[in-house]
Amino acid sequence: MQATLMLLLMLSAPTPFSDAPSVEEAANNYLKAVGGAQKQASISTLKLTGMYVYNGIEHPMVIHRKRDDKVRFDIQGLNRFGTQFSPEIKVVRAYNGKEAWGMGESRQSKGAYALPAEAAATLKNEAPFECPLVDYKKKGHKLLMVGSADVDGADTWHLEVTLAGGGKQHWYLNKKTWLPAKMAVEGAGGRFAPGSWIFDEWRKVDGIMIAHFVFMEEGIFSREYFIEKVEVNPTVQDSVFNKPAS
Amino acid sequence: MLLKGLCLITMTALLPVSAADWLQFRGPNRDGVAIEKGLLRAWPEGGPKEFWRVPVGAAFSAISVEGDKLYTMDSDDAGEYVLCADAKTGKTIWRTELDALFTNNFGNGPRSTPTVEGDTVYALASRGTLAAVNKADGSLIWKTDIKTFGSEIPTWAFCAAPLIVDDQLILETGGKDGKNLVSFNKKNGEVNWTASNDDQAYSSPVLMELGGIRHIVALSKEHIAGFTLDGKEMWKQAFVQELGIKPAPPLIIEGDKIFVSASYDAGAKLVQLKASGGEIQSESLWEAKVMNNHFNGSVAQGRIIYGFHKATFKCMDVVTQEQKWVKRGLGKGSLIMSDGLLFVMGERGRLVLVEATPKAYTEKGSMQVLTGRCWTQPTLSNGVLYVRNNKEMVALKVK
Repeated sequence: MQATLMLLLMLSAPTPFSDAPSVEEAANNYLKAVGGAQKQASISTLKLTGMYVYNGIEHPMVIHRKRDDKVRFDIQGLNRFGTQFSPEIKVVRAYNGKEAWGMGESRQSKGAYALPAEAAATLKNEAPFECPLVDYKKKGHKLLMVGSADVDGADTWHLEVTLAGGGKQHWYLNKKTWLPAKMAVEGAGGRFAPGSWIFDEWRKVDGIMIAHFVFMEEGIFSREYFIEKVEVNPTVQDSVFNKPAS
Repeated sequence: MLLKGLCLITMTALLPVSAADWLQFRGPNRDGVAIEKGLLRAWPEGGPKEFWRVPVGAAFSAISVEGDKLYTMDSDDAGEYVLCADAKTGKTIWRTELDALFTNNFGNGPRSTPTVEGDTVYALASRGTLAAVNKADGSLIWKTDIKTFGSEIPTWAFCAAPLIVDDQLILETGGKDGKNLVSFNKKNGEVNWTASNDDQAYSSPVLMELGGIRHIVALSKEHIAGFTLDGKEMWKQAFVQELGIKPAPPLIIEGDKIFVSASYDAGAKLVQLKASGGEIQSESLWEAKVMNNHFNGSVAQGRIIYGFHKATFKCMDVVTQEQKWVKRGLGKGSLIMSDGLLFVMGERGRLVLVEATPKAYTEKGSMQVLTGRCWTQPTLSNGVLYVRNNKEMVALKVK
């Protein structure tokens, strides 16, 4: 009798995410929310200027992005431990789709060098020009609708993305806006390796939505990106992302 | 009802004579709460009126206020000082050197906040000089070196704020062989008693009264523990014993619980205390990574707490651990509370007025009051909010 009652209750109760969209719907809604497929496809470079904040110190920052997975961060005044603003130092971290490299981590370091594995992995996670939800089938990624999740008080849909090249990411799309509230990397988040990115202050620039605040949790530490200026489709040479000859 | 009555008695017993004064680290009851009413419920565009702004030497020391005088610490290339300034103008009245300058890449100078009591100001310099100076002119009454208990200057310097209980000054010293917690005679600096075999944790003890028993609650590297006023251990609970950096002081919750928190992924712990037959028993209610206070402590509104979980400003129910809301963009800030309002100092000098409610994060005003790194919590006294960093000190009209 008790078992029958339990079964009836189970059958009549909605599943935790019975109203969840399919992964295809979620991916489509995301794409519409950020500006639409046509608009997204028309963009091949981005230049973001703003402030990188670490340990309470502001560092002027420029980020260059280029399809498909080229990224370069130039951060002014950031010394190795983020103790204070060091005007003589400019840190560069870049990935050209093949090689992750850095420059200027300390007063002593001279020339460019290959990034250690943990830092390289972080940069590669940040490198893709597009979110993996875009053209996920074509790219070979696999999506799974995990269900509802709360991110900083926002109701979100949690999607698990198994990347074609290996590894898993978790994307949390705001149910109202379909914009990402958070992305987390499975298996990362060690003592110094970023494990999650929180996106906020979305604003439309030239028809596309850009998060103007990004909070990155890196194990026991965190960093904040405050984007102040966005340039869409500026001219950016591929060489910007290549490691200079030492 | 009886419990509520007891809580009220407890709170009243700890208050200073003038509730509007802010005589020590984290205010009247060392809990980050100012007993003020009639404060501005919202700020005009650009923030509240600025009374004054003065340069100050490097320090992370917060500000204590009594009447029309304020007390803090600062430094210059030569040394570290405790100073008194006119609270109406910010002008320095006296400045007394205590020790040589402590330097550190994250910021030089004193970390401890002076305690004002009676005619005396008590202050701890970074290198371990503990001093009592005359409140009127800054002249030295006594001083001692807390390193004599066997400690060395810790990596981030001596930070604890002196706690005055009756005739005692109680302080974490980092001393060895049962001398981590030391009671000094506040009049002459002589040692009354020593306690605790634990190691230091950059933590300031607090006074708690439960079931008619006044006792000291101190956080060390290994434990959160209670001590009688003559230094006997009453209870203790382990808390992330491998971490020796726990500057956020213990926070009393609803009169009978203790909340402790630390960063570096340590998390937090809630301990239930029960008084019976002159003794106090402790029980761990939970320990979890739901709140990581780094530099500054949380504030409590009943069972709701507001605090910085690493670089995320967070409101939670401390009993159920339920998160109520979060706000990012303020870094590892600090905060105090009064009259249903939170005064939040962002790590980069943005000061924000926030409604103290678990319902939602609601800003009622903000201003960029300071620039650069701001790790010092604000002070509220007599309708004036005092903030500082390692370069400037500012007074704002918030009433």
